[in-house]
Amino acid sequence: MKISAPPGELRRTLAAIIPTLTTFLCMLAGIIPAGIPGFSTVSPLFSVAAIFFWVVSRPNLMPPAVVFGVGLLQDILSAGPIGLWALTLLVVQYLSLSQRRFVIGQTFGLGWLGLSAIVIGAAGSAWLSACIYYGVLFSAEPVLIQAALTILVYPAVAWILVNISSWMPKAL
Amino acid sequence: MSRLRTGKNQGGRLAISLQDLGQRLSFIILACAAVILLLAGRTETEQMEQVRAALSDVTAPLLEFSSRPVQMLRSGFEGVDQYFNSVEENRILRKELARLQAWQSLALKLQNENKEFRSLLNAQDLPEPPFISARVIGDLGSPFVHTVLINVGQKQGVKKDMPVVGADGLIGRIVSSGKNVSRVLLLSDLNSRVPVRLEGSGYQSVLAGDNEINPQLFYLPLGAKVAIGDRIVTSGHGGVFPPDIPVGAVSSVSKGASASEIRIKPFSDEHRLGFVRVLQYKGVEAPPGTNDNGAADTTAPKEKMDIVLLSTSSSAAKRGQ
Repeated sequence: MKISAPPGELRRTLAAIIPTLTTFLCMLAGIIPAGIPGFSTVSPLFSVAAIFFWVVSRPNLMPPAVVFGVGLLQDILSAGPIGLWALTLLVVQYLSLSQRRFVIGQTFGLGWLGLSAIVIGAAGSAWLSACIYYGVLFSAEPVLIQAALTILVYPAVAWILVNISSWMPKAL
Repeated sequence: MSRLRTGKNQGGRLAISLQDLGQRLSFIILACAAVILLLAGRTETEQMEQVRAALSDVTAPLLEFSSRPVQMLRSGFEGVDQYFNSVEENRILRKELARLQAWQSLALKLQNENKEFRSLLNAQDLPEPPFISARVIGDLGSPFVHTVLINVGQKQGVKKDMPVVGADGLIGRIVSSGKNVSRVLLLSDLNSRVPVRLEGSGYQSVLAGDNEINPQLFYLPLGAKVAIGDRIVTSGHGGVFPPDIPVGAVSSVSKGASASEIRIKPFSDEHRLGFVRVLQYKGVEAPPGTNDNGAADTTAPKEKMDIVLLSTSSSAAKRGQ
């Protein structure tokens, strides 16, 4: 006998907050001390990867307020200029939404390519904002390494998030 | 029926476009808010720091909790590594012990000699500041800012500008302190400036961070001779840092267009900070011996005195060679 329970109210509520929760955890993963010399300067932009994934797969569950909140927390925790990551992540959300129709329903490779373009755009935007904010021309090398690492780790992040989202009810 | 369906579709489309409009509007408002926050941070730095310190207090337990699995994993890997390298490490440590025993006898001899000369000259030392031990709970996670978060704050007596030292030397100073957490500006940060002196020659200089791993020496007098390996200690000028804290050693000297570029490798590796000490240094407003706060003398960390002593003796030995 096949048991198929309809999604309960609790499950629906939990599923609705999963994108926020996982994006928040991804942001934390990029900040906590890894203990690898020099890694913290170039740690992958997990939050960018998570926002891209959720905006493409469940745009209604990733509103701008959540993106702004995660960015603001990243600014506070990483001691950068307050507003820098809030603005950058909003740019990521906007770009991801505009790319969504090209990526949705396509192969993973195309999605990865889309993410790559967005990560480079986000890293460039953060670098430019920081240069203007501090009035100094920062070396672009750590930012480029950070972008490259984010692109490299995206399949792993996406794999985890796909498994989580497969548990979520289709319509929310 | 079909008209009803069309009506439903139109209603659905209207709802979607309204939702879309709402999203666009909130996106624009939030993007403007982010820009305003950036501008506010540029102008109202002190107030923004207070807000950040208060928010860090709220988020610190979360950060501390989330860093635990990584720390456990790290110590696990280190344990395995130590187990497999124990024989080789034992051999190196025995060699090091023999070398340091020779240094210890020289240090003790110099300590006694120093004490004797000081009593003869009636020389007065600045009292050693008491300290608070703290654990590093958060990393910078950004190519633009080099700071770490530690788990002590105002409640424990931490104040802005207090110097912070690692196991081997200076790592930076407190830039903001909340109730239970504080932020340390590392030597490599763009905004870090530390008055230092070359231990051997005594030349005064300023160590300035530029977000590179090794900070740079500035304002050295023309003709000052600097060699790779020269030790750098704090000069005590400016009153923020006590004098003679080991900072680092000259790692590179290269000729630039206008002046030489001298870089320092800090003794404390800022990427491997586990525990640090916040020195409750009160600056140099009151001359030593004139205030009633003599407690600083009695709580002086012996370990730190030994470090300073050893650094003095090593430079003396180097000069003697």
